[in-house]
Amino acid sequence: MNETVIQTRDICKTYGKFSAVSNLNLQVSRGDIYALVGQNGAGKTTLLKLICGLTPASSGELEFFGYREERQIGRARSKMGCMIETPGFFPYLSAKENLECYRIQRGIKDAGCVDRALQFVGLADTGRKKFKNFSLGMKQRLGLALAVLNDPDLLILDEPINGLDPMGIKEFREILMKLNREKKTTVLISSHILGELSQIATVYGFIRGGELMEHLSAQELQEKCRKYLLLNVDDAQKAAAVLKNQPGCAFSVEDQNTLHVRQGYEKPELLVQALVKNGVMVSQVYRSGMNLEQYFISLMEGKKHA
Amino acid sequence: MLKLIHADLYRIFHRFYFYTMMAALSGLCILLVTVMKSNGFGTVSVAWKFFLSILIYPVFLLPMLTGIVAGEENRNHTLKNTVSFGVSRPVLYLSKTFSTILLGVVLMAVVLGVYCGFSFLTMTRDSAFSGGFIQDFAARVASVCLVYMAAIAISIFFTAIFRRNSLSIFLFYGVFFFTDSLFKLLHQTDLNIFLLKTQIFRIESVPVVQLFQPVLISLGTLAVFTVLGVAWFRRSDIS
Repeated sequence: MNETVIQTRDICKTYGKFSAVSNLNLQVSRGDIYALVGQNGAGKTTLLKLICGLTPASSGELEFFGYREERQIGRARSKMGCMIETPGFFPYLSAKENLECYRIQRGIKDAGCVDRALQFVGLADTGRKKFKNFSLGMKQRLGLALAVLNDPDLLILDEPINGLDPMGIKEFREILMKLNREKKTTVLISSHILGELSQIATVYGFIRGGELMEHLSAQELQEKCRKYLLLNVDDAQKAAAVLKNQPGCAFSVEDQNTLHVRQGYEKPELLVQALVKNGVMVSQVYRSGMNLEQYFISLMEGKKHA
Repeated sequence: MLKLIHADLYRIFHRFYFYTMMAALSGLCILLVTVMKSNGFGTVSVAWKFFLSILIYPVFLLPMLTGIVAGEENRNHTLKNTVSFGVSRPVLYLSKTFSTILLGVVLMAVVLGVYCGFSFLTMTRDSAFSGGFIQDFAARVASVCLVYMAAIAISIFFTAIFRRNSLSIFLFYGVFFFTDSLFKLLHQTDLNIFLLKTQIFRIESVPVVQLFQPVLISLGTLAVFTVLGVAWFRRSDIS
């Protein structure tokens, strides 16, 4: 049975008349790498802040590791590591001193965890260099080191690969996958770099205007993004009526001239023949497919998938 | 709570600025005693009495302390690291207040130690400098420490509300130093008695037995601003 780590029920956050998150229902199960995908201002960071307790919800309910009561949720948050927006540290302290400060604050008895976390993110050799002199990539790495300091069961990461170089992104991906594989760490991650997300995510949540548009597993997404036959016709509705009668044919009408046939197009010539026979002019036929980015764009543009 | 205070003190004691401030204030004390001595005010009792007449000035330094403890957390966006770990917001707010008070106590102990110690070692111990005099001095200093604690609570309150350090310092000075002028404008000078500024001046002049008034008003102010601050901080957004 999948244990639910995070569950939001109709959670809302409003700022005056502006609704940043509205009636959002999100479910993250143990072991998931849940990718939160959305445009700028879609409400991703606000949602993550709600989950992390950085902003109070206007209404709705949050269930965290099975707890619903505020105090219990607070205690359960100690099993979480997070990095929301830019990492915040004291500029006059070194990486080690910053982490040591949080080790003391969190009451972690094992003093070795600081060195291990720094080693883990590749910052072990920064010595006495102060945080204010770190590059953006180093700051991001230190943010991740803090997130894993307490060996969390859940990692919440908001745009964590911003500022990382290609090598850093690769290392970061490997770190996340290693944590997920070896320690069964659940990850909730938001990013604009969809190509990167598609390499690690096991579940996707698409968010727009503060609402969760779609929630689907990597397998389901793969299914939705798989190859299809694109038909360009003079009248898509008329073509749809013809295709409905074709055995095993599943399709979607994309616009008044375009259809995507997802099933039953092994012999496209037969479909074209049937269309032409019924007076539909076919101008283009080709096989196509989508990646996560294209799927995201099509979803944001509001296209429906059959 | 203790872990939070420990962490605050860890980072502050790793900060050069704090030691610079401490050294500068200690140097100022030595300079003050030296100037007094060279101008003929060479007795310990005069020097210590003089200290009681300048008790208002440390108030100017209090926003610096709250800035180090709480203001910096706002500026560096580090509060989110603590809150997201599940630390209760009231506990976090109280820990900031206590950390600032502790820091103030450390600073006060050093400054007072340097001033009193240096004057004691270099100046003439006259007949007025007796056990009773020291007791009287200690009671007044202890009372003013409570006033400073209450002032810290006000300063922390403004730091929690107005994240910008400069704005919170400006408002703190405004509220602390100019509320009596406002009362005067409103013909409500009777209310001055509830002001910390009034109490600081009273501490210097009233008999020791009357020091309970500044103590009570300080404790009241400390409680009111702490409760208001906690209430605000509980519902505020952390960036």
